[in-house]
Formats: sequence, C-alpha cells, structure tokens
Amino acid sequence: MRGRMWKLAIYLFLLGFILNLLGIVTHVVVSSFAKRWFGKPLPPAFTTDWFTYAWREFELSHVLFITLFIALAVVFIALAIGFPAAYVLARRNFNAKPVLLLLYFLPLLIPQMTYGIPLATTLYGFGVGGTVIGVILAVLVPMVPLAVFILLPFFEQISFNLEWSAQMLGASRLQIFRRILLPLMLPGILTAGLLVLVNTISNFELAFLLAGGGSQTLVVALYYNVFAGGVRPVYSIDAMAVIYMCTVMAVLLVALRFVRPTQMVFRLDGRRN
Amino acid sequence: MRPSRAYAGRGMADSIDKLQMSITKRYGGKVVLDQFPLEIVGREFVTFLGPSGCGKSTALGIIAGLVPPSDGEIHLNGRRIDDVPPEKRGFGMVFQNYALFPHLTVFGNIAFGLSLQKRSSEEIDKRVRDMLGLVRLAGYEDRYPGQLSGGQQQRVAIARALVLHPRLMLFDEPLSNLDAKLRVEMRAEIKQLHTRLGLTSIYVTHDQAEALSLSDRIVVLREGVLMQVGTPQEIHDRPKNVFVADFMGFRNFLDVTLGKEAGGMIEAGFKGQILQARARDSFHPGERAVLAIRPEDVRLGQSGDGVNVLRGKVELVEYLGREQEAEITLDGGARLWVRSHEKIVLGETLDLTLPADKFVLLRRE
Ligand SMILES: Nc1ncnc2c1ncn2[C@@H]1O[C@H](COP(=O)(O)OP(=O)(O)OP(=O)(O)O)[C@@H](O)[C@H]1O
Ligand SMILES: [Mg+2]
Repeated sequence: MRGRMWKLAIYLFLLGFILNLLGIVTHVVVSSFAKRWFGKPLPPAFTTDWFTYAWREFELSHVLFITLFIALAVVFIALAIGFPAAYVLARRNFNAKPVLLLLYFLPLLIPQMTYGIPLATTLYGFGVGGTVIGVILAVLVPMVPLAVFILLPFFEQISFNLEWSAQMLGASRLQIFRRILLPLMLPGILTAGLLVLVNTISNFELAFLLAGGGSQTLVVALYYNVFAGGVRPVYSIDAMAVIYMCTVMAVLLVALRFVRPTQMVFRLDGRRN
Repeated sequence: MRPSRAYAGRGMADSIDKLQMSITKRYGGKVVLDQFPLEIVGREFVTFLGPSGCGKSTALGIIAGLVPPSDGEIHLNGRRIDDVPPEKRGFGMVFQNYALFPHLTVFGNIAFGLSLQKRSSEEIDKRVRDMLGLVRLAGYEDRYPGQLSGGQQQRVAIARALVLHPRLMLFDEPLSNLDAKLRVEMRAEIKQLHTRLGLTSIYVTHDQAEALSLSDRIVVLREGVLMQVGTPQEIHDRPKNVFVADFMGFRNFLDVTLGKEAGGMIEAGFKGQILQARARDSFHPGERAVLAIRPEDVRLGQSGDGVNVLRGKVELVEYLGREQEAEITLDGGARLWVRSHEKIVLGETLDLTLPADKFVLLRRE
C-alpha cells in the first residue's frame, strides 16, 4: 500500500514537472508569435514580426555567427587536445594516474562560477578578456576534460593488440592513427564532438564572464536583453529565446543523426581482451 | 617440398639464417626473463613451452620489437636489431585473440600490409586471393571478422601475416581460444604451412601436446628461467629436472637415496626397498635424488625377475575411455599413479612393476 502511494506521488510529481516545463515553453513560444497578449488564455492576433524585430535589433545574425564560431572552435580544440590525452590515459598505467584523472575532471565536478571568476581575472590580465579568444579559452577549461572523459572508454574498447598487429604489418605510428584508431574511434569522436558542441552553445557562466561587446554568445545576449527590462518588448525577448531553443534543437537533431549516445554504454560488457 | 606458388618471389635477402639473443626483462623490480638465451636457425620451428605467466609472451614481444628488453642483445644474421622498430623487422605475428581489424573485411585485413607498401592493386588482389586459397578461405573476402568463426578468424590472422612473406613468424598461443577438435586441425595446418612455405617460426604455447607435435625444438621456460632446450623426443623422454618432467606428464616422483652403481645400473633406496634405475653421469652413491616415471609406464603384476616390484591398494580409479588411471597407496604410504588397459578394481591390492629403463633419474629440488 505504501509502495503504491509512493509510486503515485512520484508519477504526480513527474507529471507536474513535465506540465510545468511544457507550460513555460509553450508560453514563451506563443508569446513570441503574439501581437498583444494581456490576461487572456490566447492572444487575439498572431504575427512573426517579433522575430524580424529581434533578428534586426539584437544583431542576431552576428550573435549566431559568433556563437557557432566559438562552439566549433571549442569542439575542434577540445578534440585535438582530448584525443591524444585520452589515448595516453587509456593506454598507459602510472602511479599518479588516479590523482591525475581526478584533477582532470575537477572542472566537470565543481560549479563553473567557483573557478570562473579567478579564471576570468587571469584571462583579463592577459588581455584576452572580452574577446572571442577569451571566451574560447575559458569554455575549453571544462570542455577538454569532457572530451577526454567521453573518448576514454572508446579507446579502452580498442584492444592494444590491434595496434601491435598493425605495427607488425609494417604500419608507422601515423598510419596506425589514420587507418586503425581514427576509423575505430569515429563514434567516440562524434559523440564527444556533439556533447562539447551542445555544452558550449548552452554554456552561460564562463561565456558571460568573458564576453565583451562583440563576443557575446546567444545565451549571453539573451540574458543581457532580458535584463535590459522595459526597453525591449517582452515578445521580442521571447522570440529570441525561441531562436535560441531552435538553434540548440537543430544542432542536436543534426548531430543525433550521426551519433548514437547509447554507444557510450558499450564498454560495460565488452572490455578489451 | 617446393615452396608454394602463393609464396614465390621471396628474395634470398630477406631470409633468416640465424637469430641469436640473450635477454633480461624486468617489470619494476620483478625479473620476468632472466638472461633468456635463444638461438634459432632458418626454417626451424621452435616452441616456447611453459605455464601461464612464465614470460613466453614477453619473450616473443621482445623478439618482435614490441616490448623493449631491459638488458641483452638480439642479433639477426649477425647484425644487431635491438634498435630496429617492429614495423621494420619484417617479422609476422599471430595473436591469441586474432586481433583482426574489425572495421575491415577479410580482404581488407589481408591486404592491409600490402597496401601500406603501396603495391599495385593488381598485385594486392592476386596475392590476397592466393593467400585466401592457401588458408582455405576463398569466397570469404567480403565478410567482416565478426561474421567468422574462431578458426576462420585465426586463419585470416595467419594469412594476413604470411602475405607479407615474413622472414620470421611469431605465434602467441594462436589456438588457445579454439575448441579441442579445431585445435588439433589447425595445429596440423600450421605445421603444413610452415613446411610448405619454408618458414622460420617461433610458437608460444602452454600445451605440451601442441609443442611436441609441432616443434623441431622445444624451449621450456619457468618463471623467466630457461629449464631445458631440446627436440620433442629429448624433452619427452629425458627431461632434465622435476619441473620439465612434471610438465611432460611424469606423474610419479619417488624420493630415493642412491646406492651402489654397477653395469650401468644404480641402486636406489625407496622406503626400505631397493629399486634399480639406469645410472646417469654426475649422480653418485649416497646422494638423495628423485626417480620419475609416467603412469602409463608402470605395469600391473610381477615381472619375471621380481625387480622393482611394489605392492599397494587401489584408492581411486579414473575412467579415461580406452584406459583407466588409478591412484595406488603403496605399503610404505607413498602414492603412485598407474595407467592401464586392464581393469583395475577399487579397493583391491595390486603388485606393480616399475621397469628400470623407464625411470628418469633427477636431482631433488
Ligand atoms: N606490462 C607489464 N607490466 C608488469 N608486469 C607484466 C607486464 N606484462 C607482463 N608482466 C608480467 O610478466 C610475467 C610474464 O608475463 P607473460 O605475459 O610473458 O606470460 P606468459 O608466459 O605469456 O603467460 P600466459 O601463458 O598467461 O600468456 C607475468 O608475471 C606478468 O604478470
Ligand atoms: Mg602469453
């Protein structure tokens, strides 16, 4: 009986949570298309004007371009650093490895604000604060560990004997990388790339701390415009939020066509032999 | 035998006359190979035999160049090759778990080395197909490794190495993942390929039957120390110490004290009885030693002259199909294993004859 009640309570809670979420999202979406909307269940008239308004007034084409540029740069650099790092961590065993792993993953575990502020101070000190480069560097701090964290199990799935047999067949390090590791790591690279991309686009704290006038990402721009309160029509802010949501959804949808996140669970059974 | 067509075109330059080495390998403070000596001549089939963890794979890895030795040198045809990286040594290797490239087809796997050498596609095609015929896998070229049985995968792994005409083939327990029947079949195939193609091979195994049936020479290892080197017959019939004897199926080890020596025979005192054994150099009267004998060499009943006869009670009988093996408790309390075609009844008391020429006299350890 008690078990039943518990289940019911949990279901109700989940239902409430989802309805609430749907409510908020729907409200924002509806509002972004509304001409005027006061105290009625539905706005009397719809328009797409707010989107054109937001696009023009908030310089969204520029903001989107900056956002994508930063995101792609972070993905590229995080993979370029994370790939060899994950390889070494997967292949070599040394005494300090557990400690190193923990240090490495600390940025993923602790809230970004705790290290974000000293990090921002340092980067401003180097004169890259407020620039695109500053944002990229700051976001890389948690994103490189994330890439390593995701690539590691993929590497561990690849038997070391495969590298050895390639070597015995005459392959150099570079050829092993190109012909064996890269094709076998493709699912891992896509998964890591996807998660870094989505996380970078949605990263607020670090982007906020480092962004200047010309280097605002979409979330940061959204935040500034929300709190520039009163000046902008609320409908245009909602339109911007919808654009933000759509961007993230679009990136996710495109990426999910290439990546199956379930592959990350692979290694639970088939470890290297 | 004439080398097969699939293998024609191997130049004299890349054949092997002699491989010599003496290597030590330490992991941390642990000595895994202790000045392990080896000398192999061309076309020889040498087996490393020893229990799990004795350093067989490590030795093979060092020869391949995959594992750096801590100490020692490797010479090939008189030239030192320690500094030559594995991909430049021209050796082929077959791993226990096949290690086929899962993203490449059978054809792609076998063609891998040739395509690295930038061979023409006609040549690659021809050599891969010849090789597929040789390992009886024609028609399988488009399959992926995951779609093959263990035995087929291992044949692909062998073909992948052989297609490059390696001057030395290294096999690391290539059959241990296969079932018993397939193991015997593949064993014969490997031996056939070795002879037919005029290969030089080093083969690692912990299976004495495999070692005996394949090898020209067997190298027995124990915890990184060389125990004995010899032909299968030498190792089988005249093991040099208790360890090798035990590995070769001697199950009975009698602790004896040596007595008088006369006419090539030596007396050995065993629990108040005098046994006769063939004398061996460097064993002297008064010395304590071990007499080893195989269960199948122990005979049931009295011999004519009454020499080397022991009495005991049957404690345990194991049915082995055509034969049975029994554990006998001797009157003195010692135990003896006997194997016979004759029926052995549990609990009965038996006379056993231990033929003097079947004893191997060993030093006590
Ligand atoms: N990378 C390594 N680091 C530390 N110790 C190692 C390493 N590789 C092997 N060893 C140790 O060296 C010893 C010999 O190992 P090796 O793999 O050569 O044995 P093996 O004779 O091939 O055994 P098996 O029949 O089980 O394959 C073992 O005790 C093993 O634990
Ligand atoms: Mg081994």
